[in-house]
Amino acid sequence: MNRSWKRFVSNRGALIGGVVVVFVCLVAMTASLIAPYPIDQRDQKLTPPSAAHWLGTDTNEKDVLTWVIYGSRLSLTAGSLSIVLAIFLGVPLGAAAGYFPGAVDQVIMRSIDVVLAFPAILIALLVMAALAPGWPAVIIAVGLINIPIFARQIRATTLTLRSQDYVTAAVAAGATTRHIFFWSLLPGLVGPLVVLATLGLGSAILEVAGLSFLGISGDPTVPEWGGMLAEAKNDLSTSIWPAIAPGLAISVTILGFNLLGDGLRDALDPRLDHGK
Amino acid sequence: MWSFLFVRMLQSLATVAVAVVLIFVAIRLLPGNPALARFGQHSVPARVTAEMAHQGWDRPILAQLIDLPGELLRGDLGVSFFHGDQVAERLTETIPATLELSIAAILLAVPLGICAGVASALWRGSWPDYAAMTFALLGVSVPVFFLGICLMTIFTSMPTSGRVAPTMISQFHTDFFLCEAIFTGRFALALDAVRHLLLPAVALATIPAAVISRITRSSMLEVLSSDYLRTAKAKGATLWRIVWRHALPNASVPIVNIAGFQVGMLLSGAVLTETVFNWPGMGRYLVTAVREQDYAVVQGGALVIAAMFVTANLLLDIAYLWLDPRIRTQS
Repeated sequence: MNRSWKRFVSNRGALIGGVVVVFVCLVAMTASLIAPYPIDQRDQKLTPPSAAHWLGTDTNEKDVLTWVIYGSRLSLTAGSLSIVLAIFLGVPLGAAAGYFPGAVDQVIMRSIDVVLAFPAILIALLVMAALAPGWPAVIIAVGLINIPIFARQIRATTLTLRSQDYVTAAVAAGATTRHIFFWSLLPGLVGPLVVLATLGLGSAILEVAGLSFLGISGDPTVPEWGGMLAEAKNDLSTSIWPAIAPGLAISVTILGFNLLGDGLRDALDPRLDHGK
Repeated sequence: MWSFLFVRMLQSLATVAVAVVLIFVAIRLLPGNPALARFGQHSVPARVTAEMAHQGWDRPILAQLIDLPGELLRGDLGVSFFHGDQVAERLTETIPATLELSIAAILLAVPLGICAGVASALWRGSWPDYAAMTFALLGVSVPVFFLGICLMTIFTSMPTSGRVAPTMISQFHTDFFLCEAIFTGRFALALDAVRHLLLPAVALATIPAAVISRITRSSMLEVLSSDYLRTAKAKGATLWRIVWRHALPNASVPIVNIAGFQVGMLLSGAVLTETVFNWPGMGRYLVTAVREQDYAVVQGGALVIAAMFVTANLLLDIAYLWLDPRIRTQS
């Protein structure tokens, strides 16, 4: 652990990613304290950046900075909940497929192959169509498209761990399947899972913003970065600032999660060369 | 090799068949029924019943499923709930737009990604490496819809909506505007189509180019340290020959793998890119259908996308066979 931590702090990209992620999380948690205006306050339409409105106002007379700050809440929450859903379903499936070769593995992995035979956006759109547009549907859709990613990775790690001597010894000593899973396999799965969840969170935020940008996530009165961009797109010929701030917010947040995820992977896997 | 191809084609057909059944059944198992979901809970019951009968969706699911293969073979994908037109006809009009956009994006992404990855591996630890990897990191972090908006703002002189100028649409006889203009030698039309295509294609190409460059880099780094390349260097082969003749062919299997995967992913990116640039393709048609809860269109569009995706994966497997003799022998 100590060596992993040292590898992590010596990786500049990982540190930058970590700082960005912590910053975005802090902004989301303290949104109501740091936002310059109440969320429902309206001023003038499409005013450029000024001392009163640092990032200007949008077409609905809202302060862009206030909405970007509040927008971090929904983006992070929806992204996190969908990853929790993906972990909740993907990890047991992947672990079962890896631990029980044969019929169980075949059934789970072939089903996952069928899901992977569809483009992610198609699955998301089908779920959105089936559940009727809204935030719960977005979370379920993004969670579902991430399940195969978690299941496949966890299966691969479980297969590797299962052939380790200490697991064989536990089986030989008569340990129950539950004991082996919780005490021998799970600790080995935590590292890859943390990396996968961090990288997955970045892509989940992107997918949430994408669905929101398409206008199928539901309530446009709730601040969310993708929805803000979609709204700002219609006024590009007259004002660019309502689009720049939410776009940068999404990009920087995803960049942060990607850097942090890559750094964690390098830190937790000593075989990886930092230069590669 | 032929038996492998035969089995692979059967698998692809089976996947499409499973996809068809899943989409078909899932849409019919919606809470209430699709017409009710479409018109709302407070709609007039007679209207809902009439719409269900009009679509033929009031019959038992099994009976509809039995009729499905025949309908699909006749190219009948149903009638739009919202607009009343044939889904298959609208898809035939919109698919060429998506295909032209996707192919343009591939033609940009693959050479760009490979060149960036090769440069990055050759000059590892120096500025081309840092520049290429920064591009790759930004490429996978900046959403395609934000990139599209930035491109529209920066290149204000470029058209940002549609496939050609509205006055020119009547001059085309097919929906493959760019191909038709090039093959019929009407270069003014082709130029206008290229101008419309350029920004959406660049936006769509960014993520695949970034991913391909990362994989090319790591694959090339592995190959460049091989003994046979040291021998080639010792024999005085030029850098150009070492890279393009000796190293890249051996590094190509993972690159083709990820490039093929990205081709499939392009369909996802196309949905967003088409929305940003008002590109009249299949993705935008499908998104509008989801927004309008037009289930006949959602079903038809989903079937076509699944079939395209599976076909892309099949072509990818054929590319492996062509590239790697070991896979040919094993299969």
